[in-house]
Amino acid sequence: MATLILAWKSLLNRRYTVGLTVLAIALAVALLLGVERLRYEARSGFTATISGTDLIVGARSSPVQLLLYSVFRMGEATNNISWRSYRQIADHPRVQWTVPLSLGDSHRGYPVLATNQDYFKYYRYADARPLELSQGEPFSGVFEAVLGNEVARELSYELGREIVIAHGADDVAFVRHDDMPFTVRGILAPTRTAVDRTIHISLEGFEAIHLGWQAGVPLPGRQVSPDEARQRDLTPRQITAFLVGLDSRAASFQLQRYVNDYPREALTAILPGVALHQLWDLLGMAEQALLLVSWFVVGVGLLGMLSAQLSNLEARRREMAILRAVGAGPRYILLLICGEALMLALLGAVLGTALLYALLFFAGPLIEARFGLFIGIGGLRPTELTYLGIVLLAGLFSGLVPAVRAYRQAVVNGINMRL
Amino acid sequence: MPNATLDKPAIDCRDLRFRWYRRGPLVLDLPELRVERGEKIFIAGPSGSGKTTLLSLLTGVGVAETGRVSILGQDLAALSGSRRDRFRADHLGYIFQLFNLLPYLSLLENVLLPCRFSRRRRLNAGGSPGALAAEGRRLLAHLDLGDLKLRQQPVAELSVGQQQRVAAARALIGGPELVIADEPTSSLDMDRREAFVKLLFNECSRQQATLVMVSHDRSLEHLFDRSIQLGQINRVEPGIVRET
Repeated sequence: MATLILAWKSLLNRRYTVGLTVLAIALAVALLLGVERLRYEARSGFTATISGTDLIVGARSSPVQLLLYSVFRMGEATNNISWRSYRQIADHPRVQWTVPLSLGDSHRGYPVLATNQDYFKYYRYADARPLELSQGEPFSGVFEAVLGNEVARELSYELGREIVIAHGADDVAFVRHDDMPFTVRGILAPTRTAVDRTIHISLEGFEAIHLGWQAGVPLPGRQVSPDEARQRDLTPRQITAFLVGLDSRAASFQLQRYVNDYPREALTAILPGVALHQLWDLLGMAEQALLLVSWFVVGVGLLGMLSAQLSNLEARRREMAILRAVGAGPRYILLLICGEALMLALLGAVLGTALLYALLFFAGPLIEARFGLFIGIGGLRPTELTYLGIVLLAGLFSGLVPAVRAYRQAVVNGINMRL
Repeated sequence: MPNATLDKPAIDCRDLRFRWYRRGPLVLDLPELRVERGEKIFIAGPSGSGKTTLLSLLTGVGVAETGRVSILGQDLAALSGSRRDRFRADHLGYIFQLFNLLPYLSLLENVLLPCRFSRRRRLNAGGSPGALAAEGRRLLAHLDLGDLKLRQQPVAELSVGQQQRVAAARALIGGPELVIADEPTSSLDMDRREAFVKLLFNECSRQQATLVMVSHDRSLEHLFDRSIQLGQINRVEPGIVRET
């Protein structure tokens, strides 16, 4: 205890250089924990995007691509599924529910998803949470829309507002469906998934705005008014993908095989969990690299401490000689320097953790608003605690280098001070 | 517990030989050095006479290649390294030429520093924190450092003379039998040197401590009971010795 007090007072005496060392370690630790937390939250946010769906079916493509466009609304489908095939698979005895999805249009950069009422009934995210409306109700008419929370917030849209949907992902003036605007009927509560960035309309509405269009452009003289459209048969001829719920999880593989071998059309069925995992592994490279870099930063911080301690040793010769003269053994000197390194690493770790929490507290809402990534201010998770432990251990080991040097000096030079 | 027997001489060295590294030159070759209890000895050591080496052997930091160093009746070579450290903490007070104080401790904490490392000296000085502080203050008062304001100053702001007196108080706290001072006056003004030595003498006499002071400043020599010329008793040719 007395040793600790002595070591502490010695540290305080050198508070500026020591403070800088601690700051360097703290910043490194904050970065390391920050990256780790970001990784964790990104991953859990990512996997929380869809749950409760047993299969996703789309035209034949890679599972990751299918997942990307059907769940994350990123990229485009290579092909569509005919309505007939969809109906046939939906009528399979093991299938309990399906949710058809049609994608391709957008509104001011936000993807438009055409679906039916079942979407609000069956879509689940996170821990099997259903979608909830914060305002209004699901669409019922042909030209009605339900906005994801972020869309409504960012564009300041309210119920009753009319919106015009653009053809394709880019909002270009001459391919707008401006003759058939949609009315906002409902706004969804935040989900922290891709749903927040989506505008939902009915399949019939989607069909209606594409009447008189071919190959992505309106055919001149074939334009239809909204009222005329309502008179037509708006059953879709094609959809992009559909979600499938089965009567039992065990049937997933059986139905996956059935879809993949579907004779009339080249289709792909994926298990969302598996595909999410594959996709994450793909993205994981960047995340691993980031983590590696933060470990390097921690290493640099500790190296800074090592060099500070080593160069301090020369200046502390007098201190060591005095301690030796009053009876401190070389082992005491060793412990003193090692203890000091451990103390600095501990201070750095504590300060770094505090820094991280301060950052989460102040920047967390900003990150969520900008990137849609929610980062929880929870306690330290086991991985993070392990990382902190590793930092402390590394600090102790880096302290061994100057400690052994001081030990040798204490043995050889003893109480002789070179002045 | 290494014991220090009262009837044995304070220092008894025989046939000491020492070199800093194997196959290096001999830096010390001392047939005999004997200091009785309570003596105040002046060792005149010009640089190159093996002074540093002798001090490291007497304090048990270095170990002689051959020969015997007996301090207060204890053969230092018979003790392990850590036991020698304990022995030094218990029985020896040491005053450096300069920079005796730890800048991050208060004046009183500096004085009481040996009591952190030696239970014996802690008990001798009163044991409890209150008694230790009282003993520290008493010693400081004896060394003309009784001023309360002085005691609250950071030690780095003390004058060199004051610092040396604090060092003397530290060397004497808890009643060590042997006080070794390595050129304690060389950084003091001429007229202050004698006053310092006299204060040191008084306190050593009071505690019946043996005092060994090494210096190349012969002007103080006459104050001591006896003086030893290290250059004469060390049989190594002068000039060979490199002080490190």
